[in-house]
Amino acid sequence: MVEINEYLWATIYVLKTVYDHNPESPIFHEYASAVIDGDLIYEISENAIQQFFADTREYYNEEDDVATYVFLDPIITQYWKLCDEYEKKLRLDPKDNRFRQDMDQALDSALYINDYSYAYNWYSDTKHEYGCKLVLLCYCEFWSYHWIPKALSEAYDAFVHYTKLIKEAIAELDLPKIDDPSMQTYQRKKAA
Amino acid sequence: MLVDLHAFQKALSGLPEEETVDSSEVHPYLLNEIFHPILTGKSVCYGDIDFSEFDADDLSVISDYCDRRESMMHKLWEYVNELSKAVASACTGRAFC
Repeated sequence: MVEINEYLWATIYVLKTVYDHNPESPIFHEYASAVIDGDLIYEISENAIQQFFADTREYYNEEDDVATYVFLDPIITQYWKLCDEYEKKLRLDPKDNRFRQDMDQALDSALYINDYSYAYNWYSDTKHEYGCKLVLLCYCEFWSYHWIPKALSEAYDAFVHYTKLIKEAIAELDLPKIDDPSMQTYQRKKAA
Repeated sequence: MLVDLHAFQKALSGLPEEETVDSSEVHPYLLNEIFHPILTGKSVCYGDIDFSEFDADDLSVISDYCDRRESMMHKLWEYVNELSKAVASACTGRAFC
């Protein structure tokens, strides 16, 4: 008989997180005939981790007992490129770009897991086809794998949200200013 | 420990029937479609779940509910364990005939 414990509900929680992100995820087909069981928590969590970004790669360093997840997605690459564009237009230093700061904060909030044995970062990698990636390191004492899917879901949503905001900010920069001759012509024509 | 079973039975039957652990906050879908079937030994598959029926937060509510049930069951078992230690004693008077 299946034991009703917190991990049983955690497996459903993990799948619910995936469902809210993408109800058509292949994970539902994969586990459709599996009997609900808390013992599946690690397996389901590992599988769910793959469901949020376009390309998820996992590496395991046996010597240091560290699992590394690399998340690649056009939404991350696009956001990085938009940050570059915003900095170029305003001649800003990347560290002074509020959109990079906002994303750092959003990722801090999204990837907050009640566990001490992990780290993460997002950065540009020019050698890589995607150009930018989100990296999560889970050290040997990390045990909260079932919280990672929720964290990734929120991280993805943060990229979507801030992409919209930075696009609006760039579009505003592209608008002609009042003292711009083309704007003065436009206003004269409008008044006439 | 001596237990007067007659008095014990009378006291028990006098108690009002009530739900042992309050489930009013628990989402009915999770309670009726997942929890109760599993509790009664039925197999529920992940494919049987309609994930649109509940919110993620409802899962922590039912998980807490299960914890409270578990804790109540633990107390009950402790009590049963204590009762089982009671030694049967013979009646001092004739009970029949």
